[in-house]
Amino acid sequence: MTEQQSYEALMTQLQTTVERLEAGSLGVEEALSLFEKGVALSKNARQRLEGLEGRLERLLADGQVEALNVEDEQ
Amino acid sequence: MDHHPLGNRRGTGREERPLTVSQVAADWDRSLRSMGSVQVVGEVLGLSLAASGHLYFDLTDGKSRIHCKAWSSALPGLEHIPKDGDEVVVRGIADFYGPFAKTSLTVRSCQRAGEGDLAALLARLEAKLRAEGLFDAEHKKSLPLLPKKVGVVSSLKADGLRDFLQSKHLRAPQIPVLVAHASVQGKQAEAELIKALEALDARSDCSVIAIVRGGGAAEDLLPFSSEAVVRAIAACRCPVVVGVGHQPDHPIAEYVADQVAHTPTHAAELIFPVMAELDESLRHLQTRLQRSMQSTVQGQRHELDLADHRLRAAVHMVQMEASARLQGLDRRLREAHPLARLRQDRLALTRLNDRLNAQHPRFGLAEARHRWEEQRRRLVEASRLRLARSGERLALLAQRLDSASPLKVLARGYALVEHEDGRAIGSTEQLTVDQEVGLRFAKGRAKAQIKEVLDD
Repeated sequence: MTEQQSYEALMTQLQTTVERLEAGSLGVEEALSLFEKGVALSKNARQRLEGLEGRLERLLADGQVEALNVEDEQ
Repeated sequence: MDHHPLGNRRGTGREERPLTVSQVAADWDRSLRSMGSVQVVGEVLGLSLAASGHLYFDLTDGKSRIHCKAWSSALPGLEHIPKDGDEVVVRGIADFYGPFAKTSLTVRSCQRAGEGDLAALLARLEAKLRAEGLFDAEHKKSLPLLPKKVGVVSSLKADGLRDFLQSKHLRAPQIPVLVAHASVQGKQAEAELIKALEALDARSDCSVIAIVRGGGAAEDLLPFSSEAVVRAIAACRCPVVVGVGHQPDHPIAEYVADQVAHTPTHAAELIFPVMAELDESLRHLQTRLQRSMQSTVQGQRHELDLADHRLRAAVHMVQMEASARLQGLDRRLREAHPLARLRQDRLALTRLNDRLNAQHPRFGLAEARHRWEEQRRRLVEASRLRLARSGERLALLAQRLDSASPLKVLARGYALVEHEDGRAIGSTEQLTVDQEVGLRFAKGRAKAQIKEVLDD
């Protein structure tokens, strides 16, 4: 499952897929299937990039998490 | 060994001239000196004070041995003057002295190493952990390109954390961060560091852990050389980045870390990608993907057009051939049709009939008749002619016959002499005297007797 793959692995696969498509000399079916795979990979990658929430939090002793404001602590 | 002044020629093709001993000695000396100052802990052995006032001794750790010397001028500066058997920590620069063929350390400082001596302790601990393989390259984990969440062990009061977060914000504001507070110096630091580290590592969502603090004095960094802390870092599931300020003496944590950063800012640079660049890379690949597909489709379309053309041409040709064959067959069929056969036969019949008719006797009849007439005429003519000629000949012959007729002859006065039986007598040989012969005259007959046979 692509969910387990690292972003780096996703990008490497996408790179390879694009390079194979660019190399040409593929049958239509193979090209189509590669293209679809490429689209799926890039969609996945885009989701990874845009799915990040950017929260800054602090782990408390009891395992709870709370929002962190660095300035407050200084 | 070849003593030729130009020396051995090696297989490199380059002429290798041998160095002099002094040149080699100088190289070794330069090499050693360039290593710079080094701190060594060991046991003092073979100490001797030369007449010059310089101190010579060896240091050993049981396995290896190095020579050391302290210039007489440096002796006052040594914190501790070594004696045989002492465990000491010295600092100095190594060199090679050609005339004596001796590698030795020129000692500039010396301290007694004991239980309380930090440097020695740390050196031994480092050696011990290194021997266990804790620092081996194969244990180092690589950092993910895009971490899902980053854990940070640091003091919330530390400048280090703020620098780290600022650098992060410039590069990847959207990557979540979870901070576990721990004192970064002092007695409680060791325990708190370990607790924070383990708490973060236990979470499944953490992809990387950073341990950061700003620079400080060597003593302040001691917790980062604690054996327990170092082992805790080694035991982490996540890759750990240690960025605790650049020191000449590296905290042992730096050796066990998966990545070492000079500063907290550098740590953030190692951990966080520049999201804008990742975005750019992805978009670029997406564009290439689209373009390559377009060109593939265009290529396919072109080939399809070509194939279409060739197919049409082939179909056309097949159609033409089929049409021609069909026409041929149609013609043969029509010709084979009973009516056609009939017509043909009728035609043949007509022709034969015509020929037959042409042969009809009537056409020849007149001519035949004509010819027959002609033949008859000629035959008649010929017959008449022959008849006439025959008649003539007959007449002639009759005439001759007549003239030859015995009767005519008889008429002329001759008589035919005959036997009694009627047979003619032609010669006297048939005659005997007194023979009775018949005489036939033109008119009438007589009997005679031979009187005499005369010879002519």
